Amino acid sequence: MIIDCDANATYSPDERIRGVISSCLEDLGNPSSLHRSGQRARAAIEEGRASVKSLIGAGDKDTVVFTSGATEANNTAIAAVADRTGPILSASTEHPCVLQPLKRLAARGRAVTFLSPNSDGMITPEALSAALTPDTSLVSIMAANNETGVINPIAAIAERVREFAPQSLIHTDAAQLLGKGHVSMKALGVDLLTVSAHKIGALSGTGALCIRDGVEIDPLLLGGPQESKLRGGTENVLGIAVFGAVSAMIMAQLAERCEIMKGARDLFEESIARAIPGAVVNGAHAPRLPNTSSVYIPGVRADDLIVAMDLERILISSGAACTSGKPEPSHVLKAMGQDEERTRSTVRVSFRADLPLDTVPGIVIALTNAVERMRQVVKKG
Amino acid sequence: MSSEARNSLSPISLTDRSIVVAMSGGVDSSVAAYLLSKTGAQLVGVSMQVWDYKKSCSDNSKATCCSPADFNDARRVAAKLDMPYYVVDFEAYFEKEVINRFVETYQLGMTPNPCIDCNSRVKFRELRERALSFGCSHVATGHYARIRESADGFHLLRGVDRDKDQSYFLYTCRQDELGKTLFPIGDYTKPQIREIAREVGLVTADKPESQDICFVAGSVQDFVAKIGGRRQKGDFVLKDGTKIGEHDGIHRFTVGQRKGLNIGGLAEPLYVIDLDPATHRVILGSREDLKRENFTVREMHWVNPQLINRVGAGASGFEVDVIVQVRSRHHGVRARMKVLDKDTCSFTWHDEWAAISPGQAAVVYDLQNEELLAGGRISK
Repeated sequence: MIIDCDANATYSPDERIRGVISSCLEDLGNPSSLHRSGQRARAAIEEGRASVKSLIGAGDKDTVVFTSGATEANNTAIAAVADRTGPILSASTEHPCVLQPLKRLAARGRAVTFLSPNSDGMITPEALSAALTPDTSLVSIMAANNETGVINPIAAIAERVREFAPQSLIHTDAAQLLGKGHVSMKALGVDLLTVSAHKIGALSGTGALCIRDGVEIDPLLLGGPQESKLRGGTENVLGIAVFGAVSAMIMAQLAERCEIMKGARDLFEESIARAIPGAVVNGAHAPRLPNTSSVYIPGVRADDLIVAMDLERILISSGAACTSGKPEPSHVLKAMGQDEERTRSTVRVSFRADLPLDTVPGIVIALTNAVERMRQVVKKG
Repeated sequence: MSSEARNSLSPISLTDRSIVVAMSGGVDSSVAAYLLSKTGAQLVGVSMQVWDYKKSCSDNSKATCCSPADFNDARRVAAKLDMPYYVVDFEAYFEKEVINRFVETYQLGMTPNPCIDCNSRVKFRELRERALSFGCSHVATGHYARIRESADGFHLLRGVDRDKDQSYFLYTCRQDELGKTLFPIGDYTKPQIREIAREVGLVTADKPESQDICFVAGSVQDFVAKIGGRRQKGDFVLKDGTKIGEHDGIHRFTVGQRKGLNIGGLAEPLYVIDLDPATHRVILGSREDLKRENFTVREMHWVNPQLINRVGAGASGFEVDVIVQVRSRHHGVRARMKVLDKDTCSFTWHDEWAAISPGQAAVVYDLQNEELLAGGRISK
C-alpha cells in the first residue's frame, strides 16, 4: 500500500469518481452540438459549473470560466491587465504560473513589484498598503501557499486595495486553499479567483477562473464562443463533470475534511518535534492550511529523504512538484529569508482527508529512521 | 492515478542486499539492471544528473549521455523491470571533481582521464553515500569488469570482453568498495549484452555506443577552451628550439599525438613529445623521441589484496614483473614495477615500449593481463 502524503502536488482521485467518469464516457458529445449528445454534454458542464460556483462561494451573476488548469486561469487573469499601464503588485512567494507571466510584463516595461513575505511566509496587509499606489492596476496574491501552506489575509488585503486603489483588479490564486479551507468570492472580496481540479481530487487538465459580476476581461485563448466567449476551444467535458462532482462531495464535508487533515498534521508535527532533533516547521506562526507541513530537517538532503521515503512507499516532496529531476532551491523559502542549506533540507508533507490517523505514527517512524541513517552517512562521509 | 499503477512497484524492504543500479540510459546498464532483476534482489534505479549541456554546447541533441532523452530510456527500462527509479542531482560534485580537474589538467600540459575521476569521486563515493542514505547496501554499474572474492579479499579482473574491458577506469576502487559493488555484465561480451537486451525487449537494445567522454559533445579542445577560457597561443618547436610553426594553445595537444598538428614538409612524421605550460611551447620530435627508458607513477592506489598488505606493512624497494596499461585504448605491455613507497612506483619497459602521456593513468595488471593490481598517474 502506498501512503500518499503529497496531496498538495496532486490530490489523486478516490474511487467515488469512477461512476462519474463512466457515465460521462457513455455520452461524450461536443457541448456546442445542437443534437442530444451535444446537449447532454453541455448539461454536464453546466451542472459542473453550478457545483464549482457553489464551492467557491461565487454569486449568481459571477462567471466561472473553465480552463485547462490553474496555470491558464492565472495567465488569463494577468493578461486581463496587460494593456493597462498602472503598476502591478504581487508576491515573491507566488507560484511560477503567476511569477512568470508577471516577469514577462516587467521585461516589457511594466512596473511590477513582488512583495516579500514576513519570516512566516505571509503577505501582510501592511506590507501591501505600503506598496499600493492610486494607479495600481492589479493586485495578485495567492490565497494559500503550495509549499508552506501559509494562508494570506486576502479579505483584509482586498479591503486595502479598494480603499487606496479602487481602480485596481484583485486576483487570488486559490488553487491550494480550495478543499482545505473555506473559499468565498464574496467574503474574500476579489475580482478574479483561480482554482484547480486536481488539487481537490478531480482530474488534472481542468481549472477555472471565477470573474466577479461587472468585471470585464478579454479571453486569453481566442477561438469559438465557448465559455461565454471567454475561452475558445471545445470544453473538457469529462474534466469539468468530475470537477463538479468532486466539488459537490467536498461541499458536503468540508469542515469534517479539514478536521481530519488537521488532526493528522498536528499529530505529525508534535511527533517529529519529539523524534527528530532540530526539526523546525516553516511558517509555524502563521495561519496555515490544515494539511500542510513544511519541515526543515538539518543535516539531510531533502531529495534523498524523498527517495528514502518513497522506498518505504510513503510519498512526500521537497516543495513544489519538480519536472526536471534537477531540483532548484525553493523560491518560497528563499523569499522567507532562509539560506540555501535550509531550503535544501526542507521537505513538504501534505495530508489527504482520507488518511487514517493511525498511519501517522508509522510515517513518523519511517521519517525518523531515514533521517537518522542519513545523518550517520553524512557524519561518516 | 489508477490503483493498479500504484500497486505495481515491486516490494522494497530495506534488506542487506538492496542494490542501487546506476543507469545511464544505455544498453550496458540496462542489461545490468535486467540481470540483477532475475536474481530477485531489491533494486533501485538511479540516473546521475551530472552535467548541464547548455554550459558547453548550444545543441543539446549532441549530448552523448545524461540528456533528458537518455533518462527517459532509463526510466522506461526501470518501469519494464518493475523497479523504482530516480534521477539524482550530482551536478555540483561533478563540476568540482571531474570537469574542473579535466580542464585544469589539459591547461597544465597534461592529459586527464575524467572517467577515472568520475568513478572514484562521484560513482563510488557520492553515489555510494546516496545508496546508504536510501538504505541500500550495494551499488551496481554497467562496467565491463569483474570482481572475485577470495580468502584474502576482493580481486578486480578485466571484463571477459577484452575489447570492451573498462577495468582501467576502476583502479581507484578500495577493498571496502569492491565488496559492496556489482558489475553484472563483466562476464558477458558486448554482442551478448545486446542480444540479451533484444530478447528481453529493452528499449535501449540498439542504442549506439556512447562516446569516450560523456560530457563533451564535439571536440575536447573546444570544450576546454570554452570552459577554461581561451588560452594563450604558442609555438611549435623542435627539440633544439627551432620554431617551425604556431598553435592555438597547449590544451589542444597530448604527448604522443601525431594527427592534427597541421605541419608538413618534413621527412619523417612528427609527434608531440612534450608540452611546456610556462612558455606555451609544443615540442615536436620523432617517435623515438617519445621513448622513455623508465617513468614514474604517483598517487598509487593498491587494489590486489596481497599488494595492499605488503605495501601497507611498509614494504618498499621490491620489484614485480607486471603488464602496464598506459592509456584507455592500450593492450598493456610488460614492464618491471619498482615500488618506491606506498604512493610512488617506477616502471622500466621489458622489451616493447609505449608512448606515455603525463597525467594519464598507468594501470598495472598481473602477467596474465587479467587481474588489476594497482594504478596511479603518470608523473611529468
